Amino acid sequence: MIEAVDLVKSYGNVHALRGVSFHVRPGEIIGYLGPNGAGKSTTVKILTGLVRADAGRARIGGFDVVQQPLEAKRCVGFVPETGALYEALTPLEYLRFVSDLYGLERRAAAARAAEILAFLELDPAAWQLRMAGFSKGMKQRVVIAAALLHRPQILLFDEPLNGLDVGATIKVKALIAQEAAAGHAVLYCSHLLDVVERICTRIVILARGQVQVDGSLADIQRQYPGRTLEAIFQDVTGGAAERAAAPLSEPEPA
Amino acid sequence: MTTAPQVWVLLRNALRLDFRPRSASREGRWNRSAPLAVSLGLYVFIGAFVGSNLQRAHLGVEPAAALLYTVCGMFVLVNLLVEFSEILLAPSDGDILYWRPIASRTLYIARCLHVFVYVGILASCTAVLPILAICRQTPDPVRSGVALFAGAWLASLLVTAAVLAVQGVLLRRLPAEKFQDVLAVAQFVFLMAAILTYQLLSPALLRGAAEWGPNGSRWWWWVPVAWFARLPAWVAGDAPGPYGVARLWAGVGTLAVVGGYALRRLAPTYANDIQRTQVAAGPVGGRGLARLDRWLGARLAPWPHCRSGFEFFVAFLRGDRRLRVQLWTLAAMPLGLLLAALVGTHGHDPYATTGVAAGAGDAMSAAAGEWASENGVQSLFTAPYLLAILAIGAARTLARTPDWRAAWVFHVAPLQRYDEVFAGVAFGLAYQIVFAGFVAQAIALGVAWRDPLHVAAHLVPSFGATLLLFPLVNLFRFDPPFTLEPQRQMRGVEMAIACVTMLPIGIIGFGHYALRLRPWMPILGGAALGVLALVAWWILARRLRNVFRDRVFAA
Repeated sequence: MIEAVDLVKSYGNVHALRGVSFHVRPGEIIGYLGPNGAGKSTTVKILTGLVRADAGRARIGGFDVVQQPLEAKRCVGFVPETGALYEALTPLEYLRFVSDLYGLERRAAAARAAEILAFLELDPAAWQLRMAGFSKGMKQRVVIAAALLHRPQILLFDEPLNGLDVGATIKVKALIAQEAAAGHAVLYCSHLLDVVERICTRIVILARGQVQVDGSLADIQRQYPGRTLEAIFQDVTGGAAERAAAPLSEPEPA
Repeated sequence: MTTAPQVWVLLRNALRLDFRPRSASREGRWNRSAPLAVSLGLYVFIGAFVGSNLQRAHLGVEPAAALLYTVCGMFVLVNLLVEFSEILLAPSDGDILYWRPIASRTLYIARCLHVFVYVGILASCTAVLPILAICRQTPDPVRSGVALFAGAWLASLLVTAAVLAVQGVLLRRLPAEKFQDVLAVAQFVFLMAAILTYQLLSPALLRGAAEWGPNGSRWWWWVPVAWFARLPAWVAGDAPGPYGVARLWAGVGTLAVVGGYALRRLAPTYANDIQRTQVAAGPVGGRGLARLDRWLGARLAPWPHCRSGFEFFVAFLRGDRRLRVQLWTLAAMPLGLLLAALVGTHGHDPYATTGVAAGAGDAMSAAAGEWASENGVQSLFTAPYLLAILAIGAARTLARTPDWRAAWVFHVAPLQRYDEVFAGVAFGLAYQIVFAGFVAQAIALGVAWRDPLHVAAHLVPSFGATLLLFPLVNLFRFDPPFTLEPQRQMRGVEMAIACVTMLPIGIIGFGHYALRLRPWMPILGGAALGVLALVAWWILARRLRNVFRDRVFAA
């Protein structure tokens, strides 16, 4: 359902992707990992049509994202890292706007919006309030609801748990598993290794714009016996542990 | 989903967002729409002025409409460049919209319609009173009024379509990393050129309107918006002048060609082009320039807080195209006006007792001489004071930024002397915009007059007025720079404030003009204003010292 083949992308002299290939089949949840600047968000932006790759091709639901962008975009539900939404609107207004863009039938869309918001435990009293006053977690619930509203077959999550409390985190993880069980393909970008370990069926680790590891957790641990995912991640991404160990300089004595 | 419903959904949402506050403050809907209301009121007021002139001139329908559409066209052009171009070129909702199944053409049409809505309202407000004045002279006022409005909208549409098409071509052709910088320069040059052309053509156009006929209307070929003036004349039953019908068809044809080009060539790649510019970020400024800024910062703003304010402003200006366009306009409009006055008067020096610069008198045409004695001298004196008026309102421009949420830093930092930070920002504004504007005018005047004393006499009073009135205006209502969310049509509020400052500026300007034959006097007067300004700045500094103590962070 998601197919990335030899994706290459540069921003000026910065090579974000250097031939990234992977695929996500129906029912799979792929954990897409990498340190900051590894190219995760660039990959997701290429898949969603936000950025055009310099080389390689990407297909979503069988549609080429460059040749058939509208068809590809119709299949996708996306939770961006920025959590961007129109904060001057209320959640219901925003979700109505999104459903109108997809041409969904209004009554059915309203019912679906209410169902998702209730599932994500957004207080119904907040449904009619401007989102500008919401906490980060409340906004993130609305962003997730907007991604699921049109029942997409493919879900792209870029740090979806940002700002969510424990209860909502559990709900979203359950929701992702539920979507995969329904045969939808999920690409899950995150820095939270424990979450990826728990919910993903396969893991792709990206570093320096290239795929370093691609396989199920069991396969990966067979390649690196006796190592945790965190240790493997630090190994393949190179030097992160050493960098983390270097302390900040002490303040000058007064 | 087909295109049309999506266009409507996007347009409706965009307009709704324009009138909703994004901050969590208790700012009501009226507060959000107040700037637009003020702007529209201002345009009705300007329209009243145009209408009264048209009524007194007793022109026919076609020349009156031609004049009106030219005025409307200029207002639309300035607003497009300063205010509305960011709808198309700097949208902030890419993460929300671009991954949705919206065709590029749909997005382009929705954004153009968003601009057209404002342009239509603005043109209508400017035109309503002049149209009433023109209609009264026609046998069927209702039909003529409708035709006059239609012509005004078509003229505004033509200006809008042309500007959007040029911007679209730049968006498509320029490298993404350079787009924002080149666009800022292009808008500056375009605005200045438009004002220059308008000023230079004005005498010929006014004479052409008064003597409308085979010769009189000749100059009007150069004003595309005026081509639509034939439409109301035709409805009013006026006989077509030479090429009158041809001009109307030329207008319609140009509109069709520009619109067709935009829809067929620019619209299909718009979404991709705009995403490209938003992802790419080129290096900011040159190393040499940054060194100069730091060197000047150390001298102009030696105190730590003051220096950080200075460097913050300079860095912000270099990285924020929107701010650059808005502030450069301060310098562009007065400079355009001054250059037009100098060219139109053939270098006429009002401080010289002979009245006309040596060698220019014989060559000066009758028209230019007439203009030099009336509009030319007026424009010469207006230009530096226009810069003063715009600079005085600049603090309000600085207050609003898309990055307003970052203002929490002012609230949490242990700022004991905010007045020093603001002084640094004001020094930055003075050095990069206001002083640069005055220097540019000084160079232009120096080349034309070749008399430094006269140049100083012309600029020192307005510079002194700027120094004095900037702190005084900010005493009454002060919003710290970079702390408020952007709001549509704030330019109108700034213009309204400018109108308030016009009274003291007018008094200073009148005194300046009266003393022009003794050039030392305006210089001394300007210096006296500068001394008074020290007191005003001291009072402002006292007020701003703890400005953040009682302010609530509204994000």
